[in-house]
Amino acid sequence: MSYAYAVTPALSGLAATAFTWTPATTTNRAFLNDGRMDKRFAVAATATTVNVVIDMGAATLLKGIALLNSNIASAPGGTPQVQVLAADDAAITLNVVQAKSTTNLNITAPKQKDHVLQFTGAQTKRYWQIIWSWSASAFALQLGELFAFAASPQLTRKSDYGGGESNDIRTSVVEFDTGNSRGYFLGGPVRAKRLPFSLHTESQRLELETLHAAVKADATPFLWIPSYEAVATGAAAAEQEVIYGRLEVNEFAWTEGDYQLFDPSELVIRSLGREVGS
Amino acid sequence: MAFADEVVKDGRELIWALDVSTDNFATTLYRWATRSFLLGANWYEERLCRLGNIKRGFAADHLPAASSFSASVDNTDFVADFLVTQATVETVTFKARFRLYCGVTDSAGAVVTQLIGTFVLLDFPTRDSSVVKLSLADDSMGLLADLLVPPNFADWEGIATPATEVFVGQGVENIDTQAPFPLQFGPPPYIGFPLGHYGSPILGTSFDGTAFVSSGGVGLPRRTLFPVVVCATRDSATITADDVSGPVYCVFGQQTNRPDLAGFKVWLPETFPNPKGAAGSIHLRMWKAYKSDTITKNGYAWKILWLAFSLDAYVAWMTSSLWALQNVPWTPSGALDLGRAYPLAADYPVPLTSAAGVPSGSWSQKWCSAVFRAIDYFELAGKPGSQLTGKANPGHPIDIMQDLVEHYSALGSSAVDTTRFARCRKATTKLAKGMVAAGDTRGTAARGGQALNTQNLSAFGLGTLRSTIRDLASSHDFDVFMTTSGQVGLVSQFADFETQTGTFPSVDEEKQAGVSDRIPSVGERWSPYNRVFIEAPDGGQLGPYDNAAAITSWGRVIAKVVGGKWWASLFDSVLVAGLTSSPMWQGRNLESKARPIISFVTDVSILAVDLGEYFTMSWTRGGANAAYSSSLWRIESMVISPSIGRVSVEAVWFADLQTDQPYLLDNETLVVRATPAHSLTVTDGSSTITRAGGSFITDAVAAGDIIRLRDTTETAATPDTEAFTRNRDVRVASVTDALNLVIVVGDTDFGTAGAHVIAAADWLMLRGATTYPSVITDAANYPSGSAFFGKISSGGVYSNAAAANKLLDG
Repeated sequence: MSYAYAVTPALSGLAATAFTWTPATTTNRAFLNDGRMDKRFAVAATATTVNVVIDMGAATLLKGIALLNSNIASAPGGTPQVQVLAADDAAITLNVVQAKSTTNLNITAPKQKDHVLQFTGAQTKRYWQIIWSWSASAFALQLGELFAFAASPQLTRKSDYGGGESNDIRTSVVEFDTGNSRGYFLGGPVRAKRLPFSLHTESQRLELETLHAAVKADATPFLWIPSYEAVATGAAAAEQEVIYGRLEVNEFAWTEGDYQLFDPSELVIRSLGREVGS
Repeated sequence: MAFADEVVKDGRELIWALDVSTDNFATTLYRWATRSFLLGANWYEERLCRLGNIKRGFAADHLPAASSFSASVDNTDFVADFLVTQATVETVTFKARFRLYCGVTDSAGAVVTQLIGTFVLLDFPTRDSSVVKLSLADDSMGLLADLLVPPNFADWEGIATPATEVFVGQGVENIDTQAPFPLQFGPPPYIGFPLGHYGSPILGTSFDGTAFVSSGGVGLPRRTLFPVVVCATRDSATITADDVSGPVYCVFGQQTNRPDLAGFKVWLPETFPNPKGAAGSIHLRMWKAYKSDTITKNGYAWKILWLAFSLDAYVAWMTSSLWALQNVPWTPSGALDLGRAYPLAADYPVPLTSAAGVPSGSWSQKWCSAVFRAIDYFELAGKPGSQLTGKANPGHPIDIMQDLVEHYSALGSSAVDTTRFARCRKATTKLAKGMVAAGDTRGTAARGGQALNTQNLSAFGLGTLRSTIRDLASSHDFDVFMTTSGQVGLVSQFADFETQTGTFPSVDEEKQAGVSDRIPSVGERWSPYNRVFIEAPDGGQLGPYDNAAAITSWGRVIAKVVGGKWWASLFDSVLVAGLTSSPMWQGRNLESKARPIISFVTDVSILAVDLGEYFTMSWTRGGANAAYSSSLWRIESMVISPSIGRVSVEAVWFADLQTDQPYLLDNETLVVRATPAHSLTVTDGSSTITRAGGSFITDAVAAGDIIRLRDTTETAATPDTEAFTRNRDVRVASVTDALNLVIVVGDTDFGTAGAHVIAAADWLMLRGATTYPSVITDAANYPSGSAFFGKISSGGVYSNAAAANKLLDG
């Protein structure tokens, strides 16, 4: 599938009271839409399922929602699941639609903390409900950020061979005269994607320039979705992949390598940091 | 899960965190960190993007080294704008205080933290498009820099003083009404400053003149009641009999017509028989001590200790024959001057009644001023001056230090590390004395010809508290620093009780890099010296005082100026008796010794040890030739590099801490030959005692020593023929070999027939009366000059012989 990205968070203007959790939890709800995923909201521990109803204030079209920096991979009893409903009432009983069917969440590192659920884009509802479930015993779900989006532009070209992904762990090591050393863990792993492109047509190149302009280089964190889809059915692991990070390209440049074919800058997308102990 | 336990472990996550508060941490405004984490119920937000190196250390002046560090705070979302925004600078930035923590994760991933220090803004923050840059310094340059400003004459006016009466300072001329009143600490006498000194008399027209009504009902005119201010105090307690009262003197200043009277002290009775009245019927009151009502200045409550002084009574006293009979002539240096004539009324520097050049009618303004001009200052023997802590016996330097921090600085009552203060209090024995006042440095002409005594002041001005603490600490050889808990801490420059009895952490060689050592350069802390000059209270120097043996040994003189400005004996000596000849080397913790300074780099685990604390460390240089083997060191400074988790340490060598001047301790362990690790066998009827292991020879047991038996298996409930035959002392006659000795033949009843094995914990080898240390080189001896602690000491000084018997058995 094609690459997609989302820049504008649809939940950013909501008050903390717009998030109603079951079981009821209100502490630190503001962390859910503060734009950073390193401060985690924690739901009261409960067995098998937890859900949140988000009151958008008015009927709103959403094309997807990213569940960022969660600890759902640690939920007991095997593969946890999630589904998204939308309705016209807070009780999720009126004109209910299933925006995303039950999806088995990817719990394989290093992609086990961030998931994106993409919808068909046909639902315009005021109330959206996300339901996590797992089997067996009680578990306290923690979540760094909910990033819903109403638009996810796609790129018509994927990157060339030679791209790749990295996981960066930051450390500091003090070396001593005896040859001994002492290492400190400072943070990580921080995921990053390197995406080289070449031989773009002008329109393809302009898509990248549009992305660069939309995120204002490394100023605005955004969602990078390597596998775009627009379906209500459950997402495969590849379709859940997402990076919430920055585009580490300040100057977007290109050269005309061949007649009307352009070699644009390589894109480097690096995830935002997480909290201590993540 | 303490920081000290976790920080030494490998692979821990390292975090730095900063608390921001505007109410001295009653509440916390922001919690920022190098990485987000949850601590208790509080989230620390990832916002610290750069932390500069943080230096903590002592400076040569006994205070924390003046240092600051920088921190950059992510402000891309404008959250930190409040530190710079004009509208909030006055409400927030001025008051902002910061606490820096080092955090590490434990094995469960939870964060444990260690406070590194509490800081204030050294300069205003700088904001650019993405960050706010902070320049932070600890309280040695913050709230500990300046004293609370005591009230002045203008503050005092209109204040009920004493109750129901209002002091009115009308007619005041040539007095700086804005100059803060002095603070006086230490043992009396204190200086009294007559406010009518420089020019016009001060008439307390509404003052409590009734207090001066004599027993005969004759009151003296209020118009000649003058205030003599002693000091300001934060003590809110009502004045007591001991406050201010006690002998009061006036001291003559330098007079052009009678220079020989300069320094004369004249005792001034509180009341005396009216020379003009009927015998025994009427008494005049010359002075009365008062404490003003509360004066609130800058939000802090103060009171003024002062005397109401009657010029009427003074003149009556001076013109009578009574004063000459009850005063002895004092030399300017304070000694009795038996060869000197009594200055009589006619000798007073200015005519007390009427004379040429002074208007007749006596009580003119000019006449009052002329009378006062002869008086340089008043001297009062009451106590406690401005002191609150230990005020029953004022003058302990640590009490004064505690007062300065708790009551005379904005830090307040919780700012003192009481444990460290208590340690230092025990190790500091000399009395301190000093005064902080607004010195009037104008020429005498500008002050109406009056030579006000100002040489003993710590002048009030910019950074007064810091300079006052420096003077106090340097006079009493202790160091001041800001502890990791953000409080003011003290540490004795030499041993205290805890250093003699404590155990110390070690810094393993596996955690050392870039080790080097050197002897401190002349002028640095701990540089060796064999000649001292004492900084006198007037700012001059006394000396030289030599360590003659060291000068001979070293072959050269290395001089050092040591503090003395707040040394009580010196203060009073200069004030009263001129230059002192006190034996400086015995009176102070001075030494002629080369103490190496070692420098090395280690990791943040050293943060569990604070400044002035001790640790052991070896430097074997790869095992080739150990420069130091398990030596004791005292931390002098640390430079913390937060971004890389390195700490550069400087420490001073103190391997002699526990051996050079051992302390006499209550438990008297020095007479213990050895603590056995093996059982002992005694056999009923036998004088031979056998130990299961170890060696009597190695333990240096000698004839005359005592074997103390404390067999816990022998109880009163199951007595032998005679109870407690194995709970007694037996005396050694001779040592046979490593495992056997023979006791002095006497009572060899050790219970029932046969052998009895006494557990290792139940017997002990002690020196006996004939084997007590007899030579100075004996390790168990007490070198001359040893300091005392425990039941036989009082404030670190041997108390008396009655207490000495406690030495024998704790």
